[in-house]
Amino acid sequence: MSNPSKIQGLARWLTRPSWLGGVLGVVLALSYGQFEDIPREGAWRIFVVLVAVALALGLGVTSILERRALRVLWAVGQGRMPSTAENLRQALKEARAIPERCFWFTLLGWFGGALLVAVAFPLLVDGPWLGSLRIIQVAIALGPLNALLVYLLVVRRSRAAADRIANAGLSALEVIEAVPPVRQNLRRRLLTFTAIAVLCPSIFILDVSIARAVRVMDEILEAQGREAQEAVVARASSEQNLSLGLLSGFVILLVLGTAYAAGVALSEPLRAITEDATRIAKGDLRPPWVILAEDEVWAAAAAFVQMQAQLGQALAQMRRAGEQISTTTEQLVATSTEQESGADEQSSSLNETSATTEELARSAQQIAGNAESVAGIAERTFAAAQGGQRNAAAFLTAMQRMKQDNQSIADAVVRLNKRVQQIGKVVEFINEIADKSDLLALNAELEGTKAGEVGRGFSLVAAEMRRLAENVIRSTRTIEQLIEEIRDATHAAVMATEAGLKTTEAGTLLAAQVDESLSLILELARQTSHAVRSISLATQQQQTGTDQLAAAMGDILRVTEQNAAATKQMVAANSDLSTLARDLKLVVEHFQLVGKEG
Amino acid sequence: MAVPESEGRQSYLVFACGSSWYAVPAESAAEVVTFPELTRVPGAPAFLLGVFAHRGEVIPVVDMGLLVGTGSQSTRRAVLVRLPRGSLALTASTVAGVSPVSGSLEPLGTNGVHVHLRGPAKGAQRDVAVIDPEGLFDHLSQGA
Amino acid sequence: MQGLRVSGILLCHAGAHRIAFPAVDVAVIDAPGLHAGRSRSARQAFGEPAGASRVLLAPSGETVGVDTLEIDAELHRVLPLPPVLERVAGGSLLGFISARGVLWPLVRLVEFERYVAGASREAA
Repeated sequence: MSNPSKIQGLARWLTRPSWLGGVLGVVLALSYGQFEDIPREGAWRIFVVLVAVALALGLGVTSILERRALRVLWAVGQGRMPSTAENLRQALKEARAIPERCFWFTLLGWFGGALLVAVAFPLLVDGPWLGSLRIIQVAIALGPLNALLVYLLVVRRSRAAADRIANAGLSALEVIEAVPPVRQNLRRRLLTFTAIAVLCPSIFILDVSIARAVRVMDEILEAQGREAQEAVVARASSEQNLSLGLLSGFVILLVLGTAYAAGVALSEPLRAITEDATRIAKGDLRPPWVILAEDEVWAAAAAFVQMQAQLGQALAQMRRAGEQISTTTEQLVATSTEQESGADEQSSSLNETSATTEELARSAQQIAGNAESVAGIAERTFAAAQGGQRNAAAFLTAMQRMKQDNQSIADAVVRLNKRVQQIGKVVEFINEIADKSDLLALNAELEGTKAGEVGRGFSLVAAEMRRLAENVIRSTRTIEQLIEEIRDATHAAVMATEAGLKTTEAGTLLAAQVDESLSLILELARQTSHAVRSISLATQQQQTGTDQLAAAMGDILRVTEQNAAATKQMVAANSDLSTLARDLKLVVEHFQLVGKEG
Repeated sequence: MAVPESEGRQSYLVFACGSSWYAVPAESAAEVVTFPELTRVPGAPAFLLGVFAHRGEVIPVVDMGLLVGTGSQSTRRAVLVRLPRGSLALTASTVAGVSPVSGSLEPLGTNGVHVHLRGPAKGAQRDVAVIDPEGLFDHLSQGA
Repeated sequence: MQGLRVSGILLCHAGAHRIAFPAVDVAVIDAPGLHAGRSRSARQAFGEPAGASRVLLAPSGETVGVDTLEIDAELHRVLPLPPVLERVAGGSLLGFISARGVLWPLVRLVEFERYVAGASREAA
């Protein structure tokens, strides 16, 4: 259940002026009655009672009708219905419709009451029916005026009530939507008002005057004589001047009061609109607040409210836009800063890359140069290897020749050995003989010596023989030595040949190895040449590639620089945008937005 | 000349063979000779290096080191000891000269050549083993 | 023996060493092949292994092997043996001969052979 305190008792407060209407009516009726002396002495009480009854009836009926007319408002106010937007709107409609209805109710009450009194009174007091007519006339004269007054009072209250209902939970635009300004009835109302304000008192006064004049006429006619007639006239002019004047003054006051109320009712919303407009002009744009009015003024107020709402929305949008611009600007600045730094990084890395590429190019050149020299070396190696191979072949031939020579030497040695062996045998034989001879001679010498002097000649001969034998032995020894030497020599030769054979074999092996190695070297040299050529090609390609890379990087660098320039431009543009946003913000802040936006 | 034995201040020819020092009674020591190539003697003990002719006399040369057991010493120098019964040359690497020797003249050993070496004796500058020439002769004669 | 004179000496070499025998001690000079195995060698007296190119045969049959051999018919004076060497070589030493500018130990063939035999037997 919503908060009923806001609009609790609103309905009752709203229709309270009806009572004023009733009371005022009674007062006027009684005054009139008193003045016109319509009811006779005895009927005064009946008249009062009738009027009271009429009043009670009228008020009761009016109350019932008003209640019916404000049923939702009553319900919401008492909390029987929740104060949802729908209910509030309904209540609002009721509240806005109630002034006119009050007018009619009041009018109805007046006429109903007047009719009742007009019909009942003559019946009760057996009076002339003319009095009823007079009563109805009065009702016609005063009823609208009274109703108008009530209307005007209720209108103001209705506005206040609508305001409170709106505060209970409706926005200005919802209010406008609930009670759209469709009826442009200001002229008609003014016409009606003027008619009532003019005609009613006129009719009333006319009626009173005519009635009095007729009465006076009647009195004059009744009066028999001029002095009686003058007395009647004097009496008439003096007696009821005051009452008449009072009554007239009262009515005139009533009229004036109504007119005042009408003027207030009319001018209030206009003043409020003016105030709001001035406030807005000063820059204080609050959420729009409905200025309730009727007809054209309501249309103007509604339009004003709508305009405020629109203005508020527009400003809110502008503020949002301004914020977005700020945000976007900041983002852009950030992005462009990032981009700038990114561009810088890119620049520097590109520079590095270009430096690296240059190094690459240089190293490629170096490689090419090295490859060239390597190629030259390979060529020379190739030539040298070929020459080496030729030498190896020659060596091999020489080796083979040596081998052949060795072989012949070996054969010669073998033959020599044979000969030497033969010689050795001969020498041995001779040695034996010599040895035997020596021995013989020795023994002979011995015997000769032992024989003493006698054997001296013998000893000498023996000694001689010994010497011969020794000579032979010496010679054979010499020969043996020679043989030994020959043997040594041949042995040495054999060793040498063997060694030589080994050497030649080793040499052949070596030559073969050398040949193999040289073949390998040749192969390697060939391969190196190939490799060098491939390296050359590759380095050339690399160079081309490097050149292309350098060109590409140059392009990238250019683009990066362009990018950087563009980024700078963007930064400049951003700063302009920022300035714009700031200005926008200032403009918006000028209209201080507080609370909800419309 | 009278030879007081076993004590006193007799003069000796002091020589060294290797690191051992010996002293020979001066009157026995005839001279110091340098010997040429020696003629080896068949069947001679090792310490008898050989013989050589010296003034018409055949002199046997004994290596003191081998004799005593201290090891042979290569030298061409020898001390010629002449006794009435014969001559003998003892190899000497160094000849110190003649000097008096004092001290006990007890045999240095109980068997072998040491019986004929006397000591401990003190020469002018060193300790010496005094050789008894006769005893030595006897020892060598038995040798073979 | 002082004043001994000898004529007819066999001047021999036993290895590198010299040794001399009186001619009367030797009956025949033979080649070693005829006395293979049974002959002692003068080298052994010098502490060297056996070996000979001539064998000296004594009248009593003893043999001593030597290497080179020369017969000197001259009369030589025998230098007396130093007393120290009297027992050397089993007492076979007679003395020394001075011939060809060097000394030769003069040795009796038979005693020398005995000595060498004994010495070689001892050695074995």
